[in-house]
Amino acid sequence: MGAGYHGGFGSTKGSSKKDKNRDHKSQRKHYTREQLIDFINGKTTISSAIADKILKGMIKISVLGDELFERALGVSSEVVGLAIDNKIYIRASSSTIYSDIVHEGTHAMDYLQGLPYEKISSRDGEIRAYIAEHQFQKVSGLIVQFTNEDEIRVHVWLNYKLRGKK
Amino acid sequence: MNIVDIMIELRNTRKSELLEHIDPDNLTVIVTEILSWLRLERKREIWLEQGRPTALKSLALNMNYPWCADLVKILQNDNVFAEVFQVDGKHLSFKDSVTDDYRHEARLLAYEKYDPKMITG
Repeated sequence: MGAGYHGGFGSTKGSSKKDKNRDHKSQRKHYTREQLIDFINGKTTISSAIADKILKGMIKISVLGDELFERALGVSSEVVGLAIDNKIYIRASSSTIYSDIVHEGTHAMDYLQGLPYEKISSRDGEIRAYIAEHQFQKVSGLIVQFTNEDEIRVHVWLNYKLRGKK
Repeated sequence: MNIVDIMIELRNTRKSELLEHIDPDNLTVIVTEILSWLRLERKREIWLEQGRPTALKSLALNMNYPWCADLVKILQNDNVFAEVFQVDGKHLSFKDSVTDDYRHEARLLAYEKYDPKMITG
């Protein structure tokens, strides 16, 4: 038992749009579980905690090729990652895969810490995940999506509907 | 009360007498993994009824994971989990003494009541 690699590791083709204004590149991507964990480990407190949980099998990570990602999960081509309880699913063709793992891993961490779905999926929950991603990007030398945390809040308030409220 | 109802309540409340001896995060993972397994087992039951090539399976464990080690500890003590499940090597399954009706009900309840929502983005 451990990370599930369903046709995503190894070569994958195709591209897909991302809902975070990032560019997808159509290219073959190859990752190993160890590469992903090693890269996010030691960067920030949250990314290290996520890496630790993945290593201990408490967060399950599945990196899927585009077709399987969309068909099995029933999502559009714009979705690059998602979380279901302690399981995270990442699109293998994403050009920001490490950031995606930190974002979805933050949701999974919230689940493990006992937060209900309504709080994890709320705007506050998404802001938390984006901030974790933002801090990780800055430390890792990756492309930083947002200039600062205020931009993140604006992005979430504009793009994420209130869940469970009229 | 079926074991599934107990696990769902534990998942929702994160409260259990088992927490006196087990790490809370590990217990959450244990319950989540067993519920996921039972839900998938119900799908396999449906596929079998449809004549599709599949089979019921036990839940594979990895004893290098602390939560799996904690699961074994739970099953070595006297509690409701130990009445229903057993670990044989690297797999969790229903105890031999558990009836087919109970197993079917557990799978059905997991399928109906454990329906985790996805968070995209």
